[in-house]
Amino acid sequence: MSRLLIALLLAATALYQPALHAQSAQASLKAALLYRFVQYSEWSVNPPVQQIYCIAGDAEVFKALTTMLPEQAQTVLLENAEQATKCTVLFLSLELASQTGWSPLLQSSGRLTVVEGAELFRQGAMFGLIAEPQRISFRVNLTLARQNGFHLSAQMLKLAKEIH
Amino acid sequence: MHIRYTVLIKSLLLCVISMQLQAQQVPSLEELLQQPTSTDPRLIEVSTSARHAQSAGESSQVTYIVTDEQIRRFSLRNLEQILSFFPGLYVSSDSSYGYLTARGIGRPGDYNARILLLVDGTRVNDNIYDAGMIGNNFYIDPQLIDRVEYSPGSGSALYGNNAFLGVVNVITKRGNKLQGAQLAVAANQHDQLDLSLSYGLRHASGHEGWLSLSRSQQDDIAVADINAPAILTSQRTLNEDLNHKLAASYRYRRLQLQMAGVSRTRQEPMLLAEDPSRSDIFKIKNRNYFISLQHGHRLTEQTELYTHLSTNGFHLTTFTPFIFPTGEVRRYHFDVTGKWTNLDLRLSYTPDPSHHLLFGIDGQHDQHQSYRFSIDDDIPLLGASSDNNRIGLYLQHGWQLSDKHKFISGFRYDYTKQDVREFSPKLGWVWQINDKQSARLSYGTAFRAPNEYEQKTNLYNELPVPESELIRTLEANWQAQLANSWSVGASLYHSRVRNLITGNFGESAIVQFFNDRSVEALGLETTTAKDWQTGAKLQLSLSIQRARYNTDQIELTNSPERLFKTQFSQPLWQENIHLNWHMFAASARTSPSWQMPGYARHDLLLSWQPSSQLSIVLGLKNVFDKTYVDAPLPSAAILRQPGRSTELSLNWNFR
Repeated sequence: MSRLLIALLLAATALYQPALHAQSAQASLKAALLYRFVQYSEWSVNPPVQQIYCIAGDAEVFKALTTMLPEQAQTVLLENAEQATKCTVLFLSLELASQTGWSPLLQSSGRLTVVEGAELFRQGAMFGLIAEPQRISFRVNLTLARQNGFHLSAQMLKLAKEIH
Repeated sequence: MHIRYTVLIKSLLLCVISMQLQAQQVPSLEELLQQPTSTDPRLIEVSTSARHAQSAGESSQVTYIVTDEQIRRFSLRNLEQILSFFPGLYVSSDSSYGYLTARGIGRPGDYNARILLLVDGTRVNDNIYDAGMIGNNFYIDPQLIDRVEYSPGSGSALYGNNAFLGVVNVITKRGNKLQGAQLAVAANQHDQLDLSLSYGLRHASGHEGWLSLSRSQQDDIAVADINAPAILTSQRTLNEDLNHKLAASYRYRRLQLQMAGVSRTRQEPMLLAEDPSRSDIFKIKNRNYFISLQHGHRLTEQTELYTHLSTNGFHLTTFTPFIFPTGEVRRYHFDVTGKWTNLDLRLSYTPDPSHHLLFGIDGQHDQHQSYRFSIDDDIPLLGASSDNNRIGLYLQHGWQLSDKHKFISGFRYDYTKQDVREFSPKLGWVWQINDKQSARLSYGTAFRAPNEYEQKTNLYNELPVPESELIRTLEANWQAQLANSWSVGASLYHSRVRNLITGNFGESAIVQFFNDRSVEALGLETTTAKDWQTGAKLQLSLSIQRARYNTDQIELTNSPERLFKTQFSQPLWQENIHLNWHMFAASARTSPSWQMPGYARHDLLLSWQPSSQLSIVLGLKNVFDKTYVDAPLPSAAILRQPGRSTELSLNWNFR
C-alpha cells in the first residue's frame, strides 16, 4: 500500500513539475524569438546606438529577456503607451489587442515591432507571433519593414510562416 | 533500465528548459521554431469560425484543430481519417466514399452536403450533389496539409449554403515547411500504395510555391456489404481504386494562386439486375478540379480588402452493366457535369481596437449543371442542363465591450436564381471569466437549399421541389486552462432542424426528395488535453449527442449517441521516437433494418524522425481486428468497416 502511495505521489509530482515551468518556458521562447528577430534585422537608416527593448503586457517575457540580453541592451516594462518614446524594439502582448492607445506605437518608423496574434499584426506590426497548437511561428510584413527602413535577412524570411 | 535513464535525461532537460537563457545560449531561430509549446487553446490562432485570422478565444464558436504533426505521427492517409479525430464527428465508409455524421446528424447517402468543405478558404463542395469528397479523391495529400480546422455549428451567417452542421477548412503548408523535394510513400497490407512527389521553394523576396504529383492505388478491396453474394466476394480482385492528383500553389506576399485536380477510377463487380446469377464490372470515373486566386490588400490603417476568385469543375461518369434485349452486356452511361465560379469580396474594418466589422459579398455562378443518360454513349435516353446564380451578403460586428466581455452579431442574406431566399442571423457573447477561463454563448441559424440533384430528381418525376432545410442552434461553451497544463473544454448545444431533405430510396419505384419531420438534437462535447514537457501528449474527447424526430422521438439513423476518442503520443528511449495510440469508440447506431452494435477500435503506431529530412511511421490500425459495421448508404446495406491493417509510411525531404 505504501509503495502504491509513493508511486502515486511520484506520478503526481512528475505531472505537476513540468506545469510549473510551462508558462516561463513559453515566455523564454518568446523572448528568445524577439532577440533573434533583432539579430536578423538591420536598421538601414539611423541604427540605434543602444537597443532599448520595450515589453508591454507580459512581465514574464520582460523578465526572461532581461536575463537573456547582454548588459549593453536596456529592457523596459511598459505600463502605458506614453513610456514608449525611446523604444527601438517594441513587443506588444495579445491582451493589448483590444485596448486603445497601444496600436499607434506600431506606426513609428525606425522601431522594430513584434506583436502577438493576428489582431495586432493587422494594425501595422512588422513581426507577428502566431500561436499554433504545439509551436510558435511568425509572420513578417516585409513591405512595412522596408518602408520603416529595415533590411531583414533572407535566412529569417525563409523561416517565416507568412510574408506579407 | 533504459526507461530509468530516459526519465533521468528528461528530468535534466526540464531543468535546462526552466533555466533562464543567456544571450550566448539562445538557440538558433530554426531551433526556436521547432520547440514544442503548450499553448492555451484560447490563444491559438484560427481562421475558420470568423472567416479571418484571430485568436480562438475571440470567436463565439469553437474551432478544433488537427495538426500536421498529428497527421504524420498517426499516419493519417486521407481527409476521412483526419476528420475522424475531431470531437463529435463520426465517419463511415462504403469503401468508395466517406460519409460524415456531425453532432448526431448524418443522412444516408448525402455525400457530406451539410458540411462546408474549404481548401485554404476555397469552397470545394460540388454544385450538383453539394458533395464534399473526403476519401482518397480529396484534392490535397495529407503531407501537404498544415492543419485542418473544424468549426462545428451553424455557420451560414458567414458562409451561407452548406455550412449547416459545420465548416471544415483544410489549410495547406507554406514555404517555411515545404522547401526542396519531398517524397512520400505509404503502403498497407491490403494492397494500397500511395506515392507522392512534391517540390517547394521560397525566395527571400517573398515568392514561394509548391507543386505536387501523387498516385494512390488500392487493389483487391474487400467487398464491404456483409450480405454480398459469394459470386461478388469471390471477385474482389476486380475491386480497384486508382487516384491521380496534381496540386500547385504560388504565393507572393498576400497573393495566392492555387490549383488542384484529381482523377479517379473506381471499379467493382456487381450483379446484373436481369440475371442475378451473372456479374460484370461497375465503374466510376470522376474528375474534379479547382483554380483559385486570392489577395489581401490593406486599403488604410483600419481597412483591408480580401478578394477571392475561384473556378471549379466536377465530372462524374458511371458505367452500369445490364443485359440488353439482344442478350449482350451493355452499359448505362450516366454523365454528370458541373462547372461553377465563386467570387468572394470581404471588407474588414477596425475603426478602433474594440470594434471590428466584416462585410462581404459571395457570388456563385453555376455556368453548367448537366446530366446525360445513355446506353454506351450512343443511344441517348435523357438529358438535362441548367444554370444558376447565387448571391450572399453578410455583415458581422465584433464589439469588445470591456476587458471581459465581447459581443458578436451578424447576419447573412442569400438569394438564388431559383428563388431561394434565406436570412441567417447570428449572435454571440464571449466572457473572459479570468485569465484561465472563458465562457461563450452563441445562437445561429443555417440553411441548405435543395441541391441540383434533389431538385432535378423531383422535377423529372413531376413532384414539387423540397424547401430549404433550416437549423437553429443555441450553444454554450466553457474552456479552462487548469493547473498542471491540463486544458479542458465543454460545449452544450441544442439544435432544431426543420425541413430536413430526405430521399425515399428503396421505398418506392420512383425516387423523390421530401422535407422530413423536424428533428431536435441535444448534445455535449467535452475535450481534454495535456502536453508534458517530456514530449508526451494526450487528447481526449467525449461527445454525447441525441438526435431524434420531434413527433415520435425516433432516433435518426447513422447517429451514435456517444463517441469517445483518445490520442496519446509518448516518446520512447529517444525524443524522436514516439509510440502513438489512437482509440475510437462509438455507441450503437440504428439503420432502418437493425441496430448496429457499438465498438471500440485501437490504432497503434511507432513514429521515428531520425532527422528533419526523414520520417518513418510503422503501425497497426484496428489492432484487435475489431469487426464493426455501418449503414451510410440509402440502400441501408450493412457495410463492414476496415479491419486490421499493417501500415508503413515514409516521408523523405531532399533539402
